[in-house]
Amino acid sequence: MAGFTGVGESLTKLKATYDKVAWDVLELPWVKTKPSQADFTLPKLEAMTKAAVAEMNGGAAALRTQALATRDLAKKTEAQFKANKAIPSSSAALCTQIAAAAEHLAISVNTNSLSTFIANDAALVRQPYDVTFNAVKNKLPEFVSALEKGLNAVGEPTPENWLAQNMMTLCRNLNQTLATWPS
Amino acid sequence: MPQLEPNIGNVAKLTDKGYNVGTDVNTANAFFKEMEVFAAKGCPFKDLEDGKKAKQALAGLIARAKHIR
Repeated sequence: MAGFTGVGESLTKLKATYDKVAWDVLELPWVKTKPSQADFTLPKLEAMTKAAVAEMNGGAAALRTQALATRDLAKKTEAQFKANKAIPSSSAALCTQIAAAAEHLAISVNTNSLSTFIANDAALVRQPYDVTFNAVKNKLPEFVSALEKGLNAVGEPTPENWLAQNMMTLCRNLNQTLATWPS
Repeated sequence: MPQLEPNIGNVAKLTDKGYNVGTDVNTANAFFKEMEVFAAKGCPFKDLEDGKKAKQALAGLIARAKHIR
């Protein structure tokens, strides 16, 4: 007999470590439940993101460590089983599967994987607001530049020259970019 | 021009959401109102003398607008 391998205990510990991960923090809450416009603010989103990163470096890191330990133990046991002809090959194959699954789990919770997920989640949440912000940020300089060119082209500011350069439209474009401020 | 989301498409609300639009709301609001004089009419003056003043005022507004980003 191979005797005590410790793989079962390692798997039990792995499950316990998995259960300790705050998955609902790791996945930004606003991904599951889209915030109302009244609720959404960047500081709140940043706080959620920081909490997720902290969990990535806490619970998820512990899970990764335990998953790698389980993998290593399963691999070691697999090698021992293969060296012992009294042990059926199916037992070694099971260890191979356990090692592969543990490694897969470890990879899925490493900082590269999770930080990308967290960043993507945050981008998804703020995207509707970013659209508006970028419209202001990107369009405003274009309209200011167009207005400046128009004003220079007016030359002597007679009503005719003013109208010929469509100054009202140029001014309106700029104001509409700034949009519906409360008066 | 891109469509702004009707309920958040203004500087005041973006600022409230934590975005830095490069100006505070009161300054932006004042700018908007001053610019509206030029945005509301095809030509906001009747003669050359007033036109010179308008041109100068608009040049000042343009200079201010460059500080909004």
